[in-house]
Amino acid sequence: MARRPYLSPLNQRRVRNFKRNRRAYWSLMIFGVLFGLSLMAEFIANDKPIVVSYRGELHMPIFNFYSEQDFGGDFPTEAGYGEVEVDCLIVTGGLQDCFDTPEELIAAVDAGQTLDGDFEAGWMLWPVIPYSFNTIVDVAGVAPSPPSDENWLGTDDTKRDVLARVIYGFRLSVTFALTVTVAASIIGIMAGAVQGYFGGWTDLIFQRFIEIWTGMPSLYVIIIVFAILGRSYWLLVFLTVLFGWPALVGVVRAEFLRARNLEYVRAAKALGVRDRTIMFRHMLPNAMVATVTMLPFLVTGAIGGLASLDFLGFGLPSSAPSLGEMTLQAKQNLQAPWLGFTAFFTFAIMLSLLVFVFEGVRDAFDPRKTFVADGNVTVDEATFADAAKSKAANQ
Amino acid sequence: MGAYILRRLLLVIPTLLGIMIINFALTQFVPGGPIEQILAEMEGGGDVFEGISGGGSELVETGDSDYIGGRGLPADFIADLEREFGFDKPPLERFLTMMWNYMRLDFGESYFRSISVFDLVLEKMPVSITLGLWSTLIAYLISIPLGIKKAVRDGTPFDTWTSGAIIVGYAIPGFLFAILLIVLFAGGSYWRLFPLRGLTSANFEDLSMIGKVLDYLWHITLPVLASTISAFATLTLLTKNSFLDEIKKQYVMTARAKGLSESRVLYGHVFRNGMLIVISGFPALFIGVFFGGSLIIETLFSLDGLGRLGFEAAVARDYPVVFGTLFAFSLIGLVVGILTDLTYVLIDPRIDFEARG
Repeated sequence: MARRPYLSPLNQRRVRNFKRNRRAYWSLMIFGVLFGLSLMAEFIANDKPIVVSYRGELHMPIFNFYSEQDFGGDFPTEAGYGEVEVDCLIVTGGLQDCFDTPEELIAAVDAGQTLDGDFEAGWMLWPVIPYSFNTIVDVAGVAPSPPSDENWLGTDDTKRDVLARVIYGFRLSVTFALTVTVAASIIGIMAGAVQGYFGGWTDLIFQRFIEIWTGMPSLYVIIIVFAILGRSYWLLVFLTVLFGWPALVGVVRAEFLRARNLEYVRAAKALGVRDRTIMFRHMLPNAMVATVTMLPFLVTGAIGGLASLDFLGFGLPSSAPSLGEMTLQAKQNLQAPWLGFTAFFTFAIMLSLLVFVFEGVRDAFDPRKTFVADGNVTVDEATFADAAKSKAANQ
Repeated sequence: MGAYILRRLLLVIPTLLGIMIINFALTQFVPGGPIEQILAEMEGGGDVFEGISGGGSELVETGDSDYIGGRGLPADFIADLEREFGFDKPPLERFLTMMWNYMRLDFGESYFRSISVFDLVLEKMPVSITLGLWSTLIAYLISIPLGIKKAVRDGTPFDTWTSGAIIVGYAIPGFLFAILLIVLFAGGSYWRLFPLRGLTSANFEDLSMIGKVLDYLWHITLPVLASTISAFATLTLLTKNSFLDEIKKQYVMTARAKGLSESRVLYGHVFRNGMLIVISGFPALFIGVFFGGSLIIETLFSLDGLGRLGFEAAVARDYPVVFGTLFAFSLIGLVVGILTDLTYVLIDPRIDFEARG
């Protein structure tokens, strides 16, 4: 984390406190590396080579479409890079003999021989894992096949590489959770702020509205909406935010209810400052601690919720690399324990890292902790218990 | 106080009405109601759960076609069905009838089984009580001593590590633990110690009394374990904080000063005050024990409980079950919310919910 001169002294202290919390700091580092790698998933696990050198020209199949004809083949469809004939075409520069004896030609090129005819040596640079999340792996054996040299974590029951699915699924889960958390926080903070700031009838009516809202059986509504509109990633994000935002309203509302009669707010009102400015410039920074307290639960809740929906078959479209679906497969294929272990440890590592990071953030924001002299930052359980209680109450 | 309780109780009415109206309105937009579900079943559709618990068959295609056998059931039969279920009446009339019945606590009958919704819920209770009761018991038996110990040894490595462990346990969804337990202890690959499905064995009736108890315990070990793991965090940390707050108070110092042993101070003096906040959760706890349902845990262990009832009803569009349970459980939930607030006041008279700034 580079030193940013524009940070206020308070925020500098928060950054320092966060770094001093070793568990949170290292969790952030590890998580950053993992998430960074998963953002580059296309370069790590893909069924297309990253770079192809064909007759001296470089091609990047990850970004562009190349037909088999581009490599001297017959079909106008996309080249099947995993097939031995296409491999041979690329390596030999498009020799037609590839359709008869591809293996021999590849072996010959590997041995450094120069072949007859229109030969020009080429090469391919493959990702570490030569499968994408939806590639059907061509290995012998019954469908969920155990871990092997080709498939480091085995394959699932439709013969797709588990490790590739984990990498793409990790990215999907994390981006889903972060999107939902950001959106739900913004809506929740605004709603809680308005409710707490104005109080009275606004508060009473809004509170009933939230009771109704949280009383809705969300799974039932999701099933119905999917039946009407069909499934998609963004619809699921929308629905999760729709049922997720009340989680924050309670704490923000309580903070605003408490602060609305404090002197600084009255002073601002007496000076004629607009309500909006009072709420978001003067009061919100003070309510931030309570808000940040809820963050670990919002993030892990979103990931867990997505996994449960996928598990029940009411989550993402079936084409998506979903970790919840892998969990379901683990249950359906008890003879294939690698599925269950992979699913469990992927979630366990992902959620633990996220919880530790966001706990560190929360502690860094906590005024009681910000000014601790010795910097012995521990988990702030008081806020945890409060948050967990209000979470339980919300369910 | 009486006015406050009355106001809270009166506010339950619009809330409950709101929940019912929104959900009833939603179902009006859904393609495929219970009639379609019956037709699909008659023409060879599938069971809702096949997708999850294994097996599974392709859905039968029932398209419109001129071929009379392709369309299946005759139109007047469908009209009869609609009349039987009351779908020939306008939605508003149906809604009002439904609410009137619910107010008299008449929850009607399931569309698909000739059994009243009340009996249906009663039928699912053993599973819910089993999961609720045992996991609550275990959670309390472990969390409270652990919380006290953490409060006494606040800031030590023991405290830090147990906090980390229970928070991780809280963050990971229970059904992932369930999968891990199944793979390890009930699958084919490792130890085959525990059964994979059900609450009791098939030969349960023939077993002796002790055999029955053992058989029951044997079956519920894994599901209870899986649903308990996430329950530790809240209670442990609640107990710990409550104790930490109390230990700092002056009466504790007085008790120590007059020479009481440390355990006497803890359990004779601090315990009573420290447990108040835990006790205030009892109304919610009590309901949780009886009506708690975890759809995924129940599905994973092939248990037939309330969580599954709700899901099955939602998917099969069994409206009497959906709305009956929605009405009853929302009502219970709202009343328990009020009871919880009242318990706070009872325990700590300084709390005043009426005074709002």
